[in-house]
Amino acid sequence: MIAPAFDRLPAADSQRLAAIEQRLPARARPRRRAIVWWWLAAVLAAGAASALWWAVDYDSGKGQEAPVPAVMPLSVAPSVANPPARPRQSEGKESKPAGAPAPKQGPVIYQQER
Amino acid sequence: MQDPLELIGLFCRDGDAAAFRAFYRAQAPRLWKFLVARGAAPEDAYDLLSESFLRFVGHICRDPRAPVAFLYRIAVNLRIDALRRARVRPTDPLPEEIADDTDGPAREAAAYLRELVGRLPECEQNLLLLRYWIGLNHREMAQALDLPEGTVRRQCAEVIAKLRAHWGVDETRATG
Repeated sequence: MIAPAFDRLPAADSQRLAAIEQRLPARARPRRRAIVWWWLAAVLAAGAASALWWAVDYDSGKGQEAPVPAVMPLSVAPSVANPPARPRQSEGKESKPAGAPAPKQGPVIYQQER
Repeated sequence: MQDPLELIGLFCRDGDAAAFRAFYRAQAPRLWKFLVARGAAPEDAYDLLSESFLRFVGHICRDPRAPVAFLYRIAVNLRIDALRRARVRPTDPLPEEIADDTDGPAREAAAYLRELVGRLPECEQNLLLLRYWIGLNHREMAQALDLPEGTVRRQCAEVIAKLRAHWGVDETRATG
């Protein structure tokens, strides 16, 4: 009953409606979702191209590196080159807690060593 | 007449301007009547209709699943904005020059029903007209009015009950 009651209202002026129709744009705006997909594809393509370029550049430069000498020249004395192993100061001692203060080394020890 | 969803699908997918024209010609006359029934002056209704379709064209292709509901959502919101600007009561009676042009008891009954609907709050008028005149389903109405579907169902039932109660009371007053 509601629909017939309101359908009884006089109709709109067809000329006015046609004039409005002429002013409406004939094309829709592109879908935002489609634009997002195009952006994603462009970013992926750019990333792939960049990765390919780096890979080709890496492979081409691999064989041109200078050869590394097989044996190092021994120009220093063996005693200096291979000093005798000194026992580590911490060897045989219990490790101290991290928060404990380091023991003070006075000037006397420094003079003895010299 | 083609399905509005199909027409808008053609428009958005293929840029088919003829499909959009067909959609416009199918929807514009009824949308204009809806705006007039909701209290807009005839001249204002043309302006609102034009603005509604302009916005519709600009946004429908983002989500073209319920084009008719989206169109009426735009129109309802524009009508509310216009009312706020003009500070006019939303339940203005229909203007004299646009009143029913038929004769007889059917005319009186229809005018009476329109008057009853006009007494309802604005949101209830939207519910009633979109559901029982424009023919949107509950899901489309929920989208058009930005309400949950369950709320739309409940409010529709309440509005119909209210209208029936008014109809009965007024009829007994008129006959008694």
